[in-house]
Amino acid sequence: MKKHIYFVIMSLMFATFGIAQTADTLLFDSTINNQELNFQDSIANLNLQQQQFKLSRDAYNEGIQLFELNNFSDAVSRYTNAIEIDSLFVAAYFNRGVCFFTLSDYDKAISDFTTTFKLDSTNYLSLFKRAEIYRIVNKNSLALVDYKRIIALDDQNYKSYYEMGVLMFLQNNFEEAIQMYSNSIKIKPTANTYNDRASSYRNLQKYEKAISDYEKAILLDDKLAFVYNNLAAIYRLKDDKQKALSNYNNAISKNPNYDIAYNNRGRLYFELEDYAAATADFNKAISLNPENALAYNNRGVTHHKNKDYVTAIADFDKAISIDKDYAKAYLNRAISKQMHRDEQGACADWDRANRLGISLAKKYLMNDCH
Amino acid sequence: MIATRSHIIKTLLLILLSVNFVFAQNIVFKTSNFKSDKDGLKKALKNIKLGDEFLQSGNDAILARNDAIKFFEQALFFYLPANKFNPKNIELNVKIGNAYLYTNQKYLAYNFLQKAITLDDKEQETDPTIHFYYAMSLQLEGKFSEAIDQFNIFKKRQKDKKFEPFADFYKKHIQECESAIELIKKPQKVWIDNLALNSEADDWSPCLSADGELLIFTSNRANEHLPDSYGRYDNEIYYSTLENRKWIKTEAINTLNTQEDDAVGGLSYDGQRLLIYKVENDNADVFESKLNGTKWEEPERKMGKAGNSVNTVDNETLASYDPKDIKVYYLTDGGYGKNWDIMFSGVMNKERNIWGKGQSAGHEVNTKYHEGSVYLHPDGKTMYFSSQGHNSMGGYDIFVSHVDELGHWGPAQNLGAPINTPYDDLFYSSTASGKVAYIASNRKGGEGGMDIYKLTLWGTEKPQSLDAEEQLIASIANPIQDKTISQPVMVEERNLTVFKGKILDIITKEAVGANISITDNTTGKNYISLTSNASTGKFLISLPSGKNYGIAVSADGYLFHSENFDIAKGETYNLLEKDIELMYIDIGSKIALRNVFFEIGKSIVKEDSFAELDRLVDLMNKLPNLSVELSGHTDNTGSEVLNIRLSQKRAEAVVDYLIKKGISEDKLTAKGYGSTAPIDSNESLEGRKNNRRTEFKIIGN
Repeated sequence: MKKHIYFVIMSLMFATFGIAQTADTLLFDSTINNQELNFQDSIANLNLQQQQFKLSRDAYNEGIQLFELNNFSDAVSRYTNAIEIDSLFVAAYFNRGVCFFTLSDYDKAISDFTTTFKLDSTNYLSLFKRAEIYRIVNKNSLALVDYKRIIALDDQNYKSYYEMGVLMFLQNNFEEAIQMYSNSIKIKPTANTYNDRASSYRNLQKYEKAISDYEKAILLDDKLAFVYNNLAAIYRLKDDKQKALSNYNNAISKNPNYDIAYNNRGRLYFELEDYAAATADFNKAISLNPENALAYNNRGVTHHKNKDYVTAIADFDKAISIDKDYAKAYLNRAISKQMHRDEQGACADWDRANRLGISLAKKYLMNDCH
Repeated sequence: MIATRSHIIKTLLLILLSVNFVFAQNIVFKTSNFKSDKDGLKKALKNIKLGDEFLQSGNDAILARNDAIKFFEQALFFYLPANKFNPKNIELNVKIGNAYLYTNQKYLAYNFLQKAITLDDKEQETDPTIHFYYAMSLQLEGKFSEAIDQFNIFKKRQKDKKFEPFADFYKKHIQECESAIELIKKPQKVWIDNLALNSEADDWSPCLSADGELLIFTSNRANEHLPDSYGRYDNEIYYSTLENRKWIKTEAINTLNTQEDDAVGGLSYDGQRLLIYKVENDNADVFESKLNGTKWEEPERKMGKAGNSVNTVDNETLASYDPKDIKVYYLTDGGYGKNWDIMFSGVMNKERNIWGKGQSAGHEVNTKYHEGSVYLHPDGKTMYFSSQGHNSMGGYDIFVSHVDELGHWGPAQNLGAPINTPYDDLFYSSTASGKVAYIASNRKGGEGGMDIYKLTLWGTEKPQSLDAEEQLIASIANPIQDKTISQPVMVEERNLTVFKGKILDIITKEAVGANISITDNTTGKNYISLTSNASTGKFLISLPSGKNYGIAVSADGYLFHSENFDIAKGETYNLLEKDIELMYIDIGSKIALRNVFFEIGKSIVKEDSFAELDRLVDLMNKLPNLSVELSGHTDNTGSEVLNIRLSQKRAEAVVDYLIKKGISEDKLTAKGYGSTAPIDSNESLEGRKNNRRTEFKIIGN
């Protein structure tokens, strides 16, 4: 990036001399005085340009200071000033793009990153950023094109391979995802990449390979609580509840504020019929993250199990207030409402759960509501 | 502590008991107890006497296992005013309890009997039946163990022969209590709701269409007919329809109702036909009515003509359709031992209404006790019926039986608690799905008498679903906040100055086409090279302002000229003019080397001098015959001895540099002049600056 700025400065300088030399050669002509005057005027213009150039750089530098103060909208206006003065100012486009990105003004961010790359075809980062936005706005195919372009320019760009892997994973194309993650690992193995490849194996039900990759991720970085959480999930799927439990314990010891692991361990305790321990874990998950709808849902199920339907319904209410499209919570609340003899309420909830795609709710609707 | 507490409890109990004893006084109906109200006493005694007759008839009927509700209701009609006059008579309380136990308000018995027991502080004095009836009421209250105890006390105390007929009854009740204790251990998964359409009177025999949207039932609620002398109305048939899960618009079916009791037994599954029973000449037979549009037609005798093999001299009452519509199941008092039993008859010729002889539903269904209702489920394989027998918890319970491949009804299964209670639980009518059914019961907590209840069977518990979250994608679980932006740029304030001038011959003032080299002294590098115009000597160039430059001018045959100059930071429009005169090379010519610098007070040539000296090297290489003297000059400040020494050393340092660059030593002479050869005034700063110089003089060519 830096290099490029110097390049711009140098080209401006060459332009200066270009004018100087042209003016110089004109000295050989006869009408010396006028041409001298022209030359002098052109120098004056150049000085003006130079002043402008400095103004644009000053605005740009102010933009950076504002960005670092998280004042993104003012930073945008400073970068815009810089660009108005110097329409070829690559760094200003890039930085303004980052601001727009941070402000979730994705169209403008895409436009700036596009300009950045147009002006400087070595700027992979602008393509990378643009791809990130494409993913956010669900234009995954465009994101893919960008990642491929980065790899075409730099075949050692392991980050792009990784991101392509993520895209494939999200499209449930796990085989291809594994290929991409493997490419990335070949260039630079990271815990994240091993984790994701493991998750791909998991989804292909290749549990042994998944376990092996999660363990490799842990070898590279044993502080990542979510990897332990994922590993625990695999053991649970393999019905090895003790190993699952010990991995949830690990996840929690790595990150004592990891509400997800508490919630998941709570579910495991529920399955082990230790309802007191399950409730304690759901309580902890909720205290760590009062917006954890899953933990409210699960605590509700535990209350229901203890036949405390009123408290169960209150928990499902809370889960639904956090996520109004939480289908499972509607299904569960309906069951608790039915047991609490609010059959009308139960039917309304099953109807909602059915609309949200839970087919079991339709069965209950047919059987119990008509 | 514990001892103290138990002592307190004992004391409290004693106090409570003594309170009881204070009030627990049997008040006999005699003049000495009611001196102030002899008329009232007389009236009460008369009422008791009238009531006793009905009670006796009722109890006789019960011993003969006949229905006797009406006798007991009539007994109560007389007893209750007498009890109001004197509520503290043991005997009357027992009689009222006794009567209530055989009505549809059984739940009222308990308070009277409990009161009688409380008043009966000298147990032995009263009739031992107090324990029998109290036990029955305890059974109804669900206090089964206590009930068994009381039945056993009765058993112990009844020595008189007149109690012999009770033996079967208390044995049966003890069995019922034992069954109840077992059945309540495994409660059924069902909700039981009292219907809003129930009245204070009896509401019973619910018949549901298979879609569950039409309910036809029987009720002796207040109607347009005159009540009998005891305030009772006749039974009539009603219907209600379901809307938004609620029974609305309950109305009597007037086309079926008469001045006498009318009761419904069964509704066809499509809701288009109805089985009722009618009493003609003191004999009940099953009739059928068909729905024509919205009107139920005049009922016709079902199962053939009166007096045939089905419609016998016995009574045939509550009946149920069979889903294939080839049989009718019905209740009759013409069963084994003249009990009410369930029988069925099959159609032999539909057009001519000829039906086969009534047959028993089998020994797995019918018992030596009464069966009270029958209902065939639309699946055709399941019969729900009520019976006082089998393992009833008390009174009628509802049972289910399944038919086998040979058409035999299998063992009766009690539907269990809480569907069945120690009260009378009868009838069963369900939707095709079997999920919802209606029964009738005189259990405690209803609206009065028999009530219709809705059963909602929730069957196996619906599993709820827990949720867990995996964080399968690391970059989502652990996003890296990449806020990389391009770095700040350092911008020099660049400002150009127009630098122009002429190169002229110092002697002739003629223009010289010379090579001009401009060096940026901050970097020591050549900034630009150009040529002056040969005919005018002019040059014109733009240079960044705010710097120090060296300029070196060389032309063939001339001594090269060099000097350094500053271009100040300036405004937009800068101009610096400088004319340079070159000296034609001649012996004795001197040139000041303005761009040769030394370290302060030392004779070490600074690096930024090399460009100038290298040009001198070039000149001497071009003109190999040239011999020069390099001289050092100072201003006049300081010691002259030191000035001369320093200038000599500096001149020698320059010569050394040139020698190192390959210039022959014999062409070079070094001489330090100190301040002895000034070229400017030493009075001014500028002049002194000009005087501090390195010079070279051509001494041979």
